[in-house]
Order: sequence, then C-alpha cells, then structure tokens
Amino acid sequence: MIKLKGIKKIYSTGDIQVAALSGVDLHVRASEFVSIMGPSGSGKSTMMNILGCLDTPTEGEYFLDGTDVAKATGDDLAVIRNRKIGFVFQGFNLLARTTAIENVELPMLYAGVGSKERRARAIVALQSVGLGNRINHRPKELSGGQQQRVAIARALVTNPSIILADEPTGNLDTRSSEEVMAIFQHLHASGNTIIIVTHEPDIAEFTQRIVHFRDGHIEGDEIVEHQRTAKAQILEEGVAK
Amino acid sequence: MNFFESIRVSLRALRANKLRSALTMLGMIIGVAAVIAMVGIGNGATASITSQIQGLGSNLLTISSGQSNAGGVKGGAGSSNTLTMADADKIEVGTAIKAVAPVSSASAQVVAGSGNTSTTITGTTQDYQIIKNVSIASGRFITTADVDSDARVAVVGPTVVTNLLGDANATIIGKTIKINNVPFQVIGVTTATGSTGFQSSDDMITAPISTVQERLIGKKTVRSILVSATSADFMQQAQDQITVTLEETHKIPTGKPDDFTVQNQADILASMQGVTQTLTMLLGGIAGISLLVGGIGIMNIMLVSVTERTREIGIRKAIGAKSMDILLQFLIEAVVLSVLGGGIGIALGYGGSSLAGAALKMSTSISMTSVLVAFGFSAAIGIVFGVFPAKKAASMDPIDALRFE
Ligand SMILES: Nc1ncnc2c1ncn2[C@@H]1O[C@H](COP(=O)(O)OP(=O)(O)OP(=O)(O)O)[C@@H](O)[C@H]1O
Ligand SMILES: [Mg+2]
Repeated sequence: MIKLKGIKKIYSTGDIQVAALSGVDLHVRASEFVSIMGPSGSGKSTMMNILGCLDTPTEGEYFLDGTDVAKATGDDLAVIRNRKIGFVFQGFNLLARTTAIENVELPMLYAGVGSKERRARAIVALQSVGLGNRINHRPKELSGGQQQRVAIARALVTNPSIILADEPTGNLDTRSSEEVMAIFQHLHASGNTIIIVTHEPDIAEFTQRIVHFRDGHIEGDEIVEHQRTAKAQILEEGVAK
Repeated sequence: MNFFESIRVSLRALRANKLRSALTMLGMIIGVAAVIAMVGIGNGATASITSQIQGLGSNLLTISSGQSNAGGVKGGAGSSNTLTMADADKIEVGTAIKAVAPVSSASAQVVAGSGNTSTTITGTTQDYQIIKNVSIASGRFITTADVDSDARVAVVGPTVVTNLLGDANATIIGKTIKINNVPFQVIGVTTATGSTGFQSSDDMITAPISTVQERLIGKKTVRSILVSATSADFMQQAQDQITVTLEETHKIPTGKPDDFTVQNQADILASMQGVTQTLTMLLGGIAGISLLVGGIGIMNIMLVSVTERTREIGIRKAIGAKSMDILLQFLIEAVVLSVLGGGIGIALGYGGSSLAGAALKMSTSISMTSVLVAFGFSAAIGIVFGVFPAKKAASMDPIDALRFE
C-alpha cells in the first residue's frame, strides 16, 4: 500500500541546511490505522505532506499502490491527490465563504463527477460525519469540531485509498476530539487506510499502531495493545438518517 | 473539469467574494465611464463649435475695413470705413466666387402696433440669402429690385415676431412696422434656426442695404462685404481675387499695407478647433487620471487579496485541482469582472455624456477609440493582476501555497 524508502527532506534557508527528514523507511499495509507521534519539529508534518503528495521529498522512493510517486510532478500529483488521497489538515483549510456542501463537492468537481451525483455523494458524506443538518452552513458558522468534520467529509467523499490527517484534533476540545476519532474508527472499520499525526497519547490509543519520530527519523514502531473505542453518539445520529 | 464547470466555479467564487468583486468592478466602472464621458463631451463641444462656425455660411469670406494683423498702434479690422457699395460691385461672381453681399447694420427700436422690441437691422442685398443659407418660412426675401428702389421692406426673424406680437405664428406679412419711426412693410419671415445669443439670426431684421443706409444710418457706409466661394477648394483663389480687385479699386501701391482685411472662415474654424482640441485634451487628461486611479484600485484589490487567493489556490490544488483548472478559473473571473465592470462603465459613460450634453445643450459624440482604449486598459489591468499572481500560485507546491503569507 504505502512504502517509503530512504525519504529525505532537506530545507536550505541561506547557507543553513535543515534535514526535516533524514532517511525514513516505512511500510503501511491496506486497512491499517496508524498514528505518528513525536516531539515538535521532529518532521511529522513534513512526512505527512510528502505522504499526501502536497510536497516532494529531496531524496528517496515513495510507492503508493505500487507506483513511485516521488518522481511524479505537477498535474500528475494533482490527479493522485484527487483520486487516492484524502487529506485532513490541522487548520481545516476549508474555503471560507463557501458552504459545507460546496466544500465537500470540490474534490469531486476536479474529478469530473457530474453535478447531481456530486451533490448526492456530498450529502451522504456529510451525513456520515453527523452534519446532515448543516450542509448549507459556511465554515465560520460552524464550530471547530464541525469544521473538522466537514474537512473529513471532504477527504473521504472521493473514496480515497488512504486518509491522512495531520493533528486532526490539535485545535479541538476533548469532546470534539473524541467525536472526530469516532469517525476515523468508523471509517477504519469500513475498510479505510488511515494515518494520523498526534501529540496526545490518548488520541494515539484510538489507533492500531504508533510510529515514533525523532529528529527526522523513525525511533520506534509499536502495536497498540489496548485500543480504545471512541464514543460514537454523533455517528449513530448521522448514520441513522 | 470541463469549461462549463470552470465558468460555474468562477461565478461561484465571484459571488462568494462580493465585496472584492464589487470593488474591482468599481475601479473599472470609474475609469471607463470617466474616459468615455469626458471624451464624449470634448468631442461634442468640438462638433458644436465647428457646426456653429460652419453655420455662419458656407465657404464664407468676410471683408472688413482696416487691417487684421494690426500690431501696436494700428487700428483693428473695421476701425475705419473704407468699404463702399462700389467695392461690392467690383468683386465679380465667377469660377471662384458664388455670391457677394455688402452688409450695413444698425441697432434700432422696432414698433408694431402696441408691441415693441430692440433688435439688429441688417441692410444687405439679395445674395445674402445664398451666402447665409437663409431659409424663408413665409413670404419672400429681399430682391435686387428692392435694393435698387430703396424699398422700405423688411424680412423679420421669428424671435422678432414673438417679441412684437407675442406669438411666433401671428400673421405679420403685409403689416407695417416702424423701425426708428420709419415705416417698413414686412415681406417675409425667416425659419427659426434655433441659434441664440449674440447676433442670432432669429432675432434680426433684414432690409435692403440702400434703405438702411439712407433711412437708418444716414451714411453710405458698408460695414463688411460677405463673399461665398464656390467651394472649399476655391477659397484661396476667391481670397486672391478679392485682394487684387480691392487693391486696384483702392489704389494701394504694392508693398503698402491694405486698408481692408479678408477673413477666411477656415481660419476662424482652425483657431477655434485649436481651442476645442485643447479642451478635449484637458478632459481626456482628467479622464486618463481617472482611468489610472481606477486601474490602481483594481491592482490594489487584486494584490491585497493575493494572500487569501494563494491559500484558496493551495486548498484547491491540495484536493486535486490541476494548474489549468486554477488558471482557467482566475482568467474567467477576471474576464467576467472586466466585461461586467467595463459594460457598466460604458453605459454610465454614455449616460453621463448624454446627460452633460443635454445640460449644456449640445450633442455629445462617443468615440469608439475612447471606448476601446478605456475598456482595453482596465480589462488588461484586471486580467494581468488577476491572473498573474494566480499563475504564480498555481505553479507552487500546494503546501507552499497553503503556507503563503
Ligand atoms: N518550509 C520550511 N523551511 C525550512 N524549514 C522547515 C520548513 N518546514 C519545516 N521546516 C523544518 O523542518 C523541521 C520539521 O518540521 P515539521 O513541521 O515537520 O515538524 P513537526 O514534527 O510537524 O512539528 P510539530 O509537532 O510542531 O507540528 C523543523 O525543524 C522545521 O523547522
Ligand atoms: Mg506539525
């Protein structure tokens, strides 16, 4: 599914070179639920951006579903991002002044899905994150947790091979965090591959496997012994519709 | 994504950012409307002055006493009376000259029944009608026979009729009016020309020159001689013919200054056009500044929103938009704003110049060049500053676009 070999990312600002990633090897199988942890500045976001094809590595190989995407450029990457990847940002990155449903329709628009189908699928996706009754709200009319759920709906609406989330609960309170994790657990249960970055050990315990980062490389890789289950009240509301 | 979808995306983006769209359009509207209105008014002023001068008579040459190029102590044109009826007779109608009419005029008090008015009495001959394109509404114009017989007949303008009888349509032909107490019989009424102000042809009485000289002025003087050339091409030849004839009659030795002046209508026209061109340029300059200010406005809005737009581009790219999708969206946005803003600007400019024309009582004319230049300039600014930053952002890695500050 995902295979990284010797991934390096080197930023040069003036004369100083910063190795945000100094040789990362990682293997993630289909239907895995992985969390990445590590101190601030250890390269987690850099890694996620490369996984999400938002950024390109300086060196190394990245196989996604068997194709080496490290060598792809420009519009090819756009197609990969569109078809295979659902990305959830810490800062949501929704289009302001645009309704929830329009935000969720956006990736399908660039995938060339017809407008009727687009709308129908966007409604289903919003319902599955418990926002079936908020489809015409704009981001600023939604709470942080609700905005994050719109972002998740946007990430999952194209049925991507993998869902990536960089600190999806970083800006949320405990309750909202748990709601978001419940959605991820639900998605995982229905067969999705998910990788999230988090600072909080409690959040990581909702996943199956934790990868520890330090100074741009992987320091540890462990299986979660006692996986926690997030309360899924909102899901039941959403799915019930 | 197909083109139709791109248009929908652009329109939705424009609607989502109403204030920005409106401000950008405002820049375009002000610039375009100002240029069109100002140039329209300038052109209208030029056209109206030109037609007023041309309305003085076609291919007109005016001979006056004295010198025109009088520098220093010499008197100006008309300062001494050196022209006579004989001079007018000497100037022969031929290939270059179509008609000759001597003119003497006086201001006088006119009385008809209980009504009275003060107006200009122009004493002249039959040819005056040809030279000045006088159109007769009823009755007839004065004839050579009237002049030869010192007939006390008068052709009156419609304003005079109104002033005397209180109604422009009142019957005056055949009636007797008293000009400075001398009875004249009205033989014709001229058609209203709409000209107003100083020496309006509507507020004027025309009578045989012989009668005017004898009864109203008391001297056999000729104020000026009007000559109409056969066509614009013969103006110079006509002018030369007049100069030669009059120098001979007035016995002016070669090398000495003439005691008369021939003024060419084209000269007046040229000098007036110089004035109106300056006016047009001035208005155009003001308009140009408005266009520039409007352009800077557009530029500002576009540049200020670059950060926000770059983030938007980052988001769109992150979820799968190709560079082409982005460029097309921004291009369509810019084109739609330009066409809408420019269109409203053209309509406002057109309306503004018509309104100004109505207020100033002249017909304004919109120049196609001004429309194209104004529209092209604002559209170019809108498109360049709308699309260029977008092109830059579209070529960034999405993560850089998302981080852009
Ligand atoms: N655009 C950039 N230019 C230069 N250096 C960068 C850039 N982005 C990240 N870095 C550097 O790369 C290193 C890793 O950054 P990264 O954002 O991946 O850390 P992180 O693990 O996500 O940290 P945090 O937990 O605080 O989000 C840091 O030292 C950072 O300073
Ligand atoms: Mg980070």
